[in-house]
Amino acid sequence: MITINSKQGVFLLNLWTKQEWFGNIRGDAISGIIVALALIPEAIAFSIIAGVDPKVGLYASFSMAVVIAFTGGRPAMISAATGAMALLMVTLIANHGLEYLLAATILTGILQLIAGYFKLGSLMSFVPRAVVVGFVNALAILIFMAQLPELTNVTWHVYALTALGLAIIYLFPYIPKIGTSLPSPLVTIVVITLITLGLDIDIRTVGDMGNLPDTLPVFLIPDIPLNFETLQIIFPYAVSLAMVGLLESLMTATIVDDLTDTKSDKNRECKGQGTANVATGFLGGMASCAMIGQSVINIKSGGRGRLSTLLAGVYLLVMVVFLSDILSVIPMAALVAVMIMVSIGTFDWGSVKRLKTLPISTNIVMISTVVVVVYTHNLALGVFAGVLLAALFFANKISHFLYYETTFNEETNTKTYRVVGQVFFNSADRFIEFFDFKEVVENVVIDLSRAHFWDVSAVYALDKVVIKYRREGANVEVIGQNQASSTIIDRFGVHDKPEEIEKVMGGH
Amino acid sequence: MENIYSCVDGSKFTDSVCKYGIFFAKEAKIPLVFLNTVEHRHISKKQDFSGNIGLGARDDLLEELSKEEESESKSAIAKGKALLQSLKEKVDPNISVSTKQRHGTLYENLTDLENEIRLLIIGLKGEDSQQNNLAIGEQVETIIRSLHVPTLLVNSEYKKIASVLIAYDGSTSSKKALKMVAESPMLGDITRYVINVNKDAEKSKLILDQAQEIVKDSKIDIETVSRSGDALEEITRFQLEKNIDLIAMGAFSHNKLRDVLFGSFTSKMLAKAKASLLLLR
Repeated sequence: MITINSKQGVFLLNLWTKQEWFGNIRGDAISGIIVALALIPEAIAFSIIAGVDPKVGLYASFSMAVVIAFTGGRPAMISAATGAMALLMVTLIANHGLEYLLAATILTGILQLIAGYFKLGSLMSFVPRAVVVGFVNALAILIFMAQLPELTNVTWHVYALTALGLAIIYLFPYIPKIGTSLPSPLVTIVVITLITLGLDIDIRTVGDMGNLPDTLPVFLIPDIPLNFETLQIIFPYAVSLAMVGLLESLMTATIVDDLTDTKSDKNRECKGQGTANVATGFLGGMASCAMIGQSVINIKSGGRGRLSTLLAGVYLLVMVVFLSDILSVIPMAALVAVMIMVSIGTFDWGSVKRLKTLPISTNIVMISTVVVVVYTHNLALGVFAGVLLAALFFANKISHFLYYETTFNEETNTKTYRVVGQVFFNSADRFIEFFDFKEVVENVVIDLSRAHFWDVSAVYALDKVVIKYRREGANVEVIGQNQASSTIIDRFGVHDKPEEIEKVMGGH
Repeated sequence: MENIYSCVDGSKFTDSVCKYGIFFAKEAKIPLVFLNTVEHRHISKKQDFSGNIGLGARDDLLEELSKEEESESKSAIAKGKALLQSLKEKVDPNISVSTKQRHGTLYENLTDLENEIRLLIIGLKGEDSQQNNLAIGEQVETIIRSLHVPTLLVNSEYKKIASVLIAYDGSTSSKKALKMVAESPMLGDITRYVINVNKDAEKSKLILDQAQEIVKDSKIDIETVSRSGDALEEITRFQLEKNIDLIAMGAFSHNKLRDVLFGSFTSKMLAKAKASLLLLR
């Protein structure tokens, strides 16, 4: 009775896909160009950080942007070769070479896909805001530090050109009319390149840093022995890369969510990053992830849909393949200026202004994250340290929710301790200290009906108290034990009910 | 608590959607809710292609974008409020009526509210689809394919429902639809036509006899019609012939493909039919 014709195929594209792709065609088409122009210097710069030919980063940026446009969970977010990832692969490339990096990239993608299928994106909720801010700031500092080798042991020309480059980037937009219609980083690159060529200044150029792409990327299988030894080499790198990649991508997704007041699908993003990295590895690109700076530029330039990400990748490839001769004469000084801009733009300036008003523990978490990252050059370690510290601070705060009341009945010579609040590893010692073991009493009643026992440390502390009293010749009776220990059995489901929460909170 | 939801946005069909809502609320004595959504489809008009980011770039951008959207949202809310108020005033005082205004697209909100909806009434196309020449609103398509509540798609001026045409092919879903139309208190005393389009006249008769069997206990009369040819054509032609006010069809989809097929058939039907369409799922 019902037949399908080709026209109806359109119905298969559901409304949201349509909206995500074609909801903002004009804005996306323009922002894609601006992002692509900004991606080229970045991809080259990050390739240099990693120690590979610029083409590895450029191919990666193309393939990431194009694949993630289809598979990602956050429209308008830009993924490409990033500093965070580049820093993690330096030693792998130095010791084993490019082929191992490509294999590690594919493995990274596979790990991210697994993370996506197991919905590990939701683990992001364990990363507190302070750690996110620390991560972003550390990243900005790392990008800046990575530019330093280009600025040491060089002639004054490089400093002058870099300074000029930065001046153009930040002052050009103030020129009326053309100021906001031409991307100032592009103007910088053109002007600096023309100056160097015109005055015939002999400084390092992009061409000196390695091969640029001259063909479209081709599918190739990394040339490595497929054995356990190889896996041993690449696995640790892949784990760090996968973690950092997902962290930065999910953080960037949150930033884009906030800026555009829309929602993203975090688990789809994890899977999307995975797919994109697998594809990138096979196309000869390095492991990559979402970029905070570029995504902000995309939104600022009017990009809102998936089309902007796709076009950024396509424009980039077209420009790179056809303009590789021109690219190779760009002086490194121009690139350094653009990268310093990216570093400044990535830095969360508001977080520095807020330092004074935030609690000290939050600041310690943020700063520790930054310090660990800058010291180890590994963002995963920084996040780990930050999360650990934040958890400890939290445990410390919660342990304050514990107090006791005592009553003494002279007739029966009975002392009653009523404990209210949270007993767990961090407060167990305080729990023991509540009890006055010096006092000679015949009967001791410990009322736990409004206390809450979270773990084995708490149970152990109670045992200790009971035994100590018994030794001293008192009769001990513990009441309300059942309510107190009901959560040790890990039946967390019950706590969704308000009355259960009320019990846990000691009834206040 | 189940309600009749009339979705209004001030576009062409709003008035009709509102009147159908009142009609069904009165017949079935179910509370009526007017729903207006404040859709955020802001696209920045400012053009900044400078492509640079400086200190605090993110905070500045966030501030700038929220400022732009703030005033737009405020005026959309005010517009929606005024519309809801004016519609509410039109309603007979002995009908229980309330208004609801929510942020986000209609589709999102209806998905959230699905459990509270007894009958959904929407216009064939809304505010956001007025510029383009689509026969059916973009959101309507998604709504009819993904929401599983009885839905009345309004595509013309309101007129009192005096007759209904039930598209019946003997499938489980159409049986259920027939049952619902037969037993629903919402429709009251009206003429019910049951149409079956089939090449085989014998078979068609059998199917229609089945239909008679189904409604036997409901104390209502149905008028059965058998036609051969293209289902869509025949149904719409018959509707025009008899000037029927409402076409009812069933679809209880179990999978995505079925949803797609159903959606497209419905879409074509909507584009052709001159009467409003009641989807029973």
